[in-house]
Amino acid sequence: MKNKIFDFRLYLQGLGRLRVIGIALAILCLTVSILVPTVRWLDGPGPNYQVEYPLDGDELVLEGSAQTWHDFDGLTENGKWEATWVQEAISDEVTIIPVLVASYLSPVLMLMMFSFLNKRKESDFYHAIPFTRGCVYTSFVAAVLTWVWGVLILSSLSAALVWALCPYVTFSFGGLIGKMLLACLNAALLSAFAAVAVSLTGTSSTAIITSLLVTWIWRIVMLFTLLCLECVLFLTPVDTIWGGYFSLEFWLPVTLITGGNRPVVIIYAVLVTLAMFALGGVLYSKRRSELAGRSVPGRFVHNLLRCMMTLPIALLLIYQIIDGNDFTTILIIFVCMLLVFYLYELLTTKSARRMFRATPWLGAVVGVCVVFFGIILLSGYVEEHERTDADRIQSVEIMNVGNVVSDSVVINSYEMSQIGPTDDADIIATVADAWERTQTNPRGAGALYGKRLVVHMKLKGGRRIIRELNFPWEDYYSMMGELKENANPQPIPSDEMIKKLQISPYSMYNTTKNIRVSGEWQTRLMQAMRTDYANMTQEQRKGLIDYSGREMLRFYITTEINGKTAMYSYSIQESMPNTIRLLYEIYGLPTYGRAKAAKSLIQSWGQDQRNTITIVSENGHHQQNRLATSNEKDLNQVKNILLKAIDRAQNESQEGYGVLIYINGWEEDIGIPAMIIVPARLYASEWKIIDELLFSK
Amino acid sequence: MIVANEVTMKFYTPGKAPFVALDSLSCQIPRGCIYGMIGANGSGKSTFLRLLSGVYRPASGSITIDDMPVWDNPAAKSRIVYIPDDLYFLPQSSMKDMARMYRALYPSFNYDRFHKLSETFKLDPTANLNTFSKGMRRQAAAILGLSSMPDYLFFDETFDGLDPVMRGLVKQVIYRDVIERNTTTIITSHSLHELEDTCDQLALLHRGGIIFQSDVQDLKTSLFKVQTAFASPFTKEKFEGLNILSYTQMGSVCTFILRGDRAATEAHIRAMSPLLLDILPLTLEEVFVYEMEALGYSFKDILM
Repeated sequence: MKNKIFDFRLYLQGLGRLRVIGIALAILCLTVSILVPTVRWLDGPGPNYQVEYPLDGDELVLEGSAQTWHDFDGLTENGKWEATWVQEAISDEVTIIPVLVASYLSPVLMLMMFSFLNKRKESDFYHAIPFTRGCVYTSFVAAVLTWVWGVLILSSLSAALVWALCPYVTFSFGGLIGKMLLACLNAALLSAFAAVAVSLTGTSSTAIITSLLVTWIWRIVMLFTLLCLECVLFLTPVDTIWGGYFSLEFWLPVTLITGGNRPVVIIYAVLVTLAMFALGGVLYSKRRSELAGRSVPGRFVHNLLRCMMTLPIALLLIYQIIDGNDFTTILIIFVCMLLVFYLYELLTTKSARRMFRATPWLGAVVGVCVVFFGIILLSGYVEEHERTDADRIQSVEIMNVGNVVSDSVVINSYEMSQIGPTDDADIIATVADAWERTQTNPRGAGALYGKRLVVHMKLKGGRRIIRELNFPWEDYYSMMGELKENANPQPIPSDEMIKKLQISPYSMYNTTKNIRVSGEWQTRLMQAMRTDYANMTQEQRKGLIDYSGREMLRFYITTEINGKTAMYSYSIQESMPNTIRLLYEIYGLPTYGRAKAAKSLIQSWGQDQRNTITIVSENGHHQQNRLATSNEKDLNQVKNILLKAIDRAQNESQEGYGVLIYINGWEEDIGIPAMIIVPARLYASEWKIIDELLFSK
Repeated sequence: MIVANEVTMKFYTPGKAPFVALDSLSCQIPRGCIYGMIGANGSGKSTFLRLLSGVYRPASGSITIDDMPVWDNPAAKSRIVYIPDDLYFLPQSSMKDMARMYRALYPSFNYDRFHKLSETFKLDPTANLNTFSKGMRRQAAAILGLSSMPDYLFFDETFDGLDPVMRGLVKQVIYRDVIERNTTTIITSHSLHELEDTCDQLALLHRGGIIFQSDVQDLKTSLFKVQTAFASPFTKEKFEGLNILSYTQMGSVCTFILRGDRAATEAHIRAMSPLLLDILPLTLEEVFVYEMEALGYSFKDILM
């Protein structure tokens, strides 16, 4: 018999060993897979729809919630616009629910598959069979993955099938497949952690504990390292530098499914999975059969596991001390740490005497914490005492992805992204000043003192450091003005630069959220922007990129510069009539009977008594509320509906902002609804201005 | 041939000194032999079988089967079937299920033999093994092991739970395998009686070492008991020149155990004109007792 890495007969035996739990899991997941879309199907059309309109060969897609006053029966009344489909978009997370279940149960299957290692007679049997240990390991691991992946794929495809048959919804098949693959990777990762645990331990309880420790301990250490560093490093943007790797996104396996689909995260997950499976294989091959029924192979591993159990609480304790928390909290955590340490010993050895004999190993935990504490404090000391002389600095790069707007300088995010490192002596001197100032007064609030910026510095020795420094406003604008000289101004991107154009209205309930615009509409919109921009004053141009948070609409243009993604973000304001008109034309696409639209609006917005609805028709205007519904004839003659509503999404107690919703009698029998968010100064007394601005044609 | 060379096996328990289960054990077991191992609990019998089966890895020393190391070596392990004292069957399985599993694990598994043996032992291959008695489960394990057609078959106290009829049946199958296929069988037991009429060679394990091993036939013939009487008074010195292991005298009658050539001894004593001379064979247990005592051990202490 040859030494094989994998044996198909053994693999089949492995599949057989898991058939009960595997079939149970499959039934559970398949039931949920079919039940969720079936219930949704039985529920009928839901409130959230996605609507797609063909438009001269281009597609315009309204994403997210459609306006609640949409009456889809009336969509094709005039025959001008025809919706190709009107369905609710089901998120990938919803379609993948059963997959999540299967994915997170994968370690259970791994623990069950290798449960024979915990019983002497079973362990002896599987160690006596004529296969190498490596072959047994790989064959059984393959069996576990087959069950888990089989259930994942089967339930995902079943869910996809039923979702596809459901008439009211749409979902992204690609998204589902993507999520399914991530779930498969997640299952493999969790299984790999469990494989290490079962290969190392000899009882189910220690296997579970070890599995959890192996999965989480590294991340917990990283988290506390980050938290502690943030406490002591005032100039170093800890989160910016290491946050990406310490963040939840890398907190595998949680985020693999919940959105961590960046290639680097996936590659990391694949590497960790392979490494863990390999480690499990090595441990399995070295494992002694006589370990079955005993918690761990030896005293050292036993002590190591106990210390690992205690370490997270010990690090939490250190964090609380560094963070300056109150003594009571620190004392409680200290007691918890002792409890975990001694209880683990008591539970695993079932001997009170041995429990206290473990005390010297508590010293090891304390020792690790002292070293950790020392390194953290030393980091703070080094940062605090670093020389800040300008002659140390070779070049600097100001990291600021936002817009810069002042009387003296206006830089949009596109221009900012063009600004690279500089060795300009004046700028280096400004940065050195800021460095010195921030080091002396690290807690000086950036917003009050000036601007807090992340600066990448290359020192003359070649070392690179990143510091977050406070700049006085005057220095900041002066420096940015100098930096802008290196940038190629491009206030409105050319059509070629645009990768994606998206319009986002002020987020508020009852609004359509985002619209992607492409093709002819994109060309027209950008042309209108350029025309408006040419006619704007400098002050108005500043307003274009100044994010006030209260603009009517924003739209985003994603473009690419030197391989990096940069984004334009514009506030659409009243000084841009051409752009606004076109935007409302886009927003007004869902067309339907004027009376239906008016009724729907009144019903929808009139629920809140604080809202004021004014109907403007051929016969003049009058206030309308939900209970006093106008007659059909009046509503058919509606010219505008003016709605003064409360910005509920922001703050119900403030009525300074609201929405103006109008239905304009653009053409006979066709109403074009639109909605804008307007500052109080506009809707309080100047309805007419808006009306003229928008419909002066 | 099985060759164990200076094999030491230690068990580690956290917080305690390692327990030495086998201490520099060496032995050679030839092909086609039925090798019996006896010893008290904890003497190392099961540990030795587990080492031979590749379940354990020795702390030091080596174990080879036909010059192949056993540990993690499928080529060697495919020729071995180990039937432990504590049997393992798949949960809720029948003999048929287990046969399917053995077929997957042992390429030489013989279904014909499995069915024939099942019939011989009157066991239902489709019945759930959980419904079997302890003895029936041992029979089932023996059938599965024998059906795997191994070159080396290790029984760890398997016969201890079998009734005499079934024990005889299993032994018959083993004998046939030894004769027809030159199978090497190792049987461990607490009881010497179990092995007396079965094994070709016997070894006695004590505290992790083989303190005595011999061919059974040699054992039975090498020692014998003499009962004799003389008309005139005499003492032990009268038999000077004979290799006496044990001597008792009551009046004019003496009984002694001695090692040596039976015919020559008889001729030697007859030359002394005894009133009575009986040369009696010893039971294997008696042989062991005297051999152990000759080595300075108390046999009863070893097996109790």
